[in-house]
Amino acid sequence: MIDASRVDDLLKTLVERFPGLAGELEQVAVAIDGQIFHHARYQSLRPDSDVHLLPPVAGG
Amino acid sequence: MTDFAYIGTRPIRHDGVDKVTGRAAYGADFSLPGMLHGAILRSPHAHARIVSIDTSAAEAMPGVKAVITGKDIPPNSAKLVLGGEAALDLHDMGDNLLAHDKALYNGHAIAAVAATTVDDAREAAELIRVEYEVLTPVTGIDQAIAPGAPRLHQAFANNIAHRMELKRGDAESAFKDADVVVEREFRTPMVHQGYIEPHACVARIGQDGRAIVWCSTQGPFVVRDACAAILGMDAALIKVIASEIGGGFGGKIVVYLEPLAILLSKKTNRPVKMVMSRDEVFRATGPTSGTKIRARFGAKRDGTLVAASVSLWYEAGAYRGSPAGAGAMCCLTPYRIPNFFIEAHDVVVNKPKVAAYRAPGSPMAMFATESVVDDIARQLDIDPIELRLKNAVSEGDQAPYGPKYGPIGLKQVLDAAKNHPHYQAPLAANQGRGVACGFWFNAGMNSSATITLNPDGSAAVFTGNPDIGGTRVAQALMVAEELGIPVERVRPHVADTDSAGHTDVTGGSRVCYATGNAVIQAARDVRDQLRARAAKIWKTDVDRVGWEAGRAVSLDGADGSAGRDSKTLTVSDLAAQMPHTGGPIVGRAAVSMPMAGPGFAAHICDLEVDPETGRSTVVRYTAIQDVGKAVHPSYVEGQMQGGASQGIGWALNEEYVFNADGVMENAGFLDYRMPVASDLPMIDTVIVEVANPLHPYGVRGVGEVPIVPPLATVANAMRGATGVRFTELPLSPPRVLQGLTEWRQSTFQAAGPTTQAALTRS
Repeated sequence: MIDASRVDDLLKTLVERFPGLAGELEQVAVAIDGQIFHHARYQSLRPDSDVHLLPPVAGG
Repeated sequence: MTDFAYIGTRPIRHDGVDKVTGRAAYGADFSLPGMLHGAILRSPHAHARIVSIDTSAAEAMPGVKAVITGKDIPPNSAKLVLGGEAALDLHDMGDNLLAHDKALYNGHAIAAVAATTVDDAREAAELIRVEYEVLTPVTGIDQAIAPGAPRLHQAFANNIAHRMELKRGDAESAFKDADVVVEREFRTPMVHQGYIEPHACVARIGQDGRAIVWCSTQGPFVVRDACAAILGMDAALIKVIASEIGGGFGGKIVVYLEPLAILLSKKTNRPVKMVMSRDEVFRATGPTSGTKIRARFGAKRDGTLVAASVSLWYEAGAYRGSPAGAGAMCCLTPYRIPNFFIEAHDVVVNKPKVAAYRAPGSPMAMFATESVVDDIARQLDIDPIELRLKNAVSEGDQAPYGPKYGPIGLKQVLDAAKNHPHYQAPLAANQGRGVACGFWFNAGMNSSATITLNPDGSAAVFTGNPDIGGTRVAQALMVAEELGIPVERVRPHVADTDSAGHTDVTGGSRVCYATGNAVIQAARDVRDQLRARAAKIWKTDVDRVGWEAGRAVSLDGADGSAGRDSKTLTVSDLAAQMPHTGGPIVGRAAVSMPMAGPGFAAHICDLEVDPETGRSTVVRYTAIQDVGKAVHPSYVEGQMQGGASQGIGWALNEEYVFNADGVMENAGFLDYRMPVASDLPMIDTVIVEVANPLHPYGVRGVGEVPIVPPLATVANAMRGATGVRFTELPLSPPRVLQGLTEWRQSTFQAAGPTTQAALTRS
C-alpha cells in the first residue's frame, strides 16, 4: 500500500522500497486511469486511480 | 463537435505544387557561399579494435581544410531512455557519430574530412590510415546469446542489454486446459525505412560560437538538443532549420551528420555540407531490428483464446536500445487473453544501431502472433475474422501492457473487414487470402503552435513539425474550422527552432493529434481575442459576444440569445480594425498530451503464387483502420496505403544481407528490393472513425498502424495459396520455392504408394 497524491510521491516511495528500480523509474511512462503520460511526475492521483508503469514508447 | 465545415474535406495541400514541380528544397538542395564539403571514412570491419589513426596524409592533401576523429567528440556519460523503441544514450550517440575505441559495425564512422570539393573530401578520407585489430563479429541473435559469445561491450555481462516481462494469470496451467495449442518460431530480417531522400545537412558556426544547421529531419528540436548535448554547447547557440523531408519513417530522428558538420565548420570557420550516399544510408543509419520470436497460443474448441506465451529477441545493432519492449507490449493487444507470459530481450550485435521505424517493434511481433492466430483458426475451422471478433478487445478491457482501453475501434474495424466486398470475392487458382490485425499506441508528447492574423483576415500558423504526411494542410484545416475562414487563406509554416515553441518530433502518429490540438487551442485563443475586439467596437462586455460560423455575433439581442441581434463582424472585418482595437492578434498554445489512444487496423490480402518459381503477386489488398477522425481523408488514406506498401515490401522482399564477416552485401536499391508502384495493386482503404475523447475533433493518429498488419496478412495469404506456413521473412521467390519443394517432398514421402504413383504421373 502506497499513500501518494501525485506520481512523484508514488515513484519516490517505490525507489525507497526498491532501490534497484531507481534507474528504471527515472524515465518510465505512467498510465493513470487509462491515459499514458510520458511526463507524468506532477500528475495527480485519486485514491482509486488505476496506475501502471511502462516503458516510454513514441513511434517512428 | 461533430458538424464540421472544413474538417473531413480534401483541399490541395499547400506544399503540393512545390513538391510535384520540383521547387521544394530538400536537405541536399541547400548551399552557402564558401561552403566546404564533408566526407566520412567508415569501418570496413564489423567488429574491430581501433589501434591507431593517422590523418597526416589526408591533412596534407591540397584542398583539405580539417579532419576530425572520435577524439573530437567530447566524452559523455551514459544516459539511457529505458525500454520502448527509441532508447537514447548520449555516450552511445557520440560513439556512433565517430568511433572511439572500437568499430562496432561495417560502416561505423571513424573519421571525417572537410575539403573544398566533394571529390577531394572523399579522396582525403581514403588517405586516412587506420590500424585495426579485427575481432570476431557477432552477426545474429543466436550467436549473440550463445554461451561464450564475443561481447560487444565489456561493460555488460553479455550481449543481452535488457530484458522485460509481462504476465497475466497462469499461462502454463491454461495451456493444459486448451483444446488446441499452436507454437512456432518466427524470424524477420533487419530492414531499412528506405526513405528516398538521404541524410543531408549544412552547418555554419560563426566566430561568436553561434551555429545554424540546415538539415532533413523529423525533429529540428531533437537535432538542436542532441547537437548541444553531444558537443557541450548551449542550446541557444544552435538554430536548426528543417528542409522539406523526403521520407523519414522514424529514421530521421537520430543525428548522424549534424554534429560532425558543426565540428568541421568550427575548425575551418566555413560552412560545411555533408550528404550521405545510398550506400552510407544503408550501412550507417538506423534500420529496424532483425528478430527471433517464439509464439504459442492455446484456444478452446469454440475459438476462445485462453493462453499465450511470446518470447522476443530483437537486434539492437551496435548499441543497446531495440524496440523489443514495444513489441512485447503490442503483440497481444487485439485479444482478451486471461493468461499470458511475454518476455523481450534487447540484443546487441555488430550491425548498425537500429532506429525507430513506423510502429517500432510492433510489425515483427504481430507477424508472429497473427500468424499463430491464423493457424488456430485453421485448426478449428473457424473463419479467421470471426475468431478475431470472438476474442477482440473493446472499451474497458485491460491491455496486456497494463491500463484499460478507452474507446477503441477494433470490433468496428473487423466488422468492416468481414463485410467488405473484398472478403467475399472468389479466389482464382494459386491464390490465397490472408487477414491480420495491427496495433499501435499513437503518441502524444509536447507541441506548440502560433497563429498570426493578417490585416486582410487571412492567417498564418507556425509549428515546429516538418511536414511528412500532409500536416501543413491538416493544421490549416483546423485553423479554418476554428476561425471560419477558407483553408486556402491559412498559410501553414514549418518554423525553425528559433521561431517556433518547443515541439517534439514528427513521428509516433502524434502531429495531427498533439500539434493539431496546439493549433486548435491557438486558434481558439485568436477567436477569443477577436471576440474581445468585437466587444470593444460594440461597446459591450466580451461575455456578450459569441462566435458562430466564423463571425463574432452580438448577444445583446432582446432575449440575449446568439444571433438575435443583427450585429455581426467577420474575421476580415475585425482584422481590418486591429490597429484601432488593440494591435496585432497573435494566438498561441503549448500542450503536453498523453498518448492519443490506441489505433487498430485489419488488412486483407489476396496473393497469387507461381508454384514453379515461388514468385508471388499481390493481386488485391484492402486496409481498414480506426483513425478516430480523418482531418484530411486523402492523406489518411495515403498513410494507410504507404504503411501497407512498406509492410508488403517487408513481407515479400526486403532484407539486409550480411556475409559471414558481418559486411552488408546489398547496400543499394538494386539489390535491396523495395516494392515500386508496378509491384502493387491500388490499395483499397476503409476509414473507421471511433472518436478519441482526448482530441477536440476525435483524432487518434494514423501513420504507424498500417505497417503492422501486412507482414502476417501476406504470410497468411501465402499459407492459403500454398498450404505452407512460412515463418521466416522475406517471402522471396527462392525461400518460397524452397518451402514448396520441401513441402512437396514431405507430402510425397508421407503418402502411400498409390498416391505417390498418382503424384508422379501428375
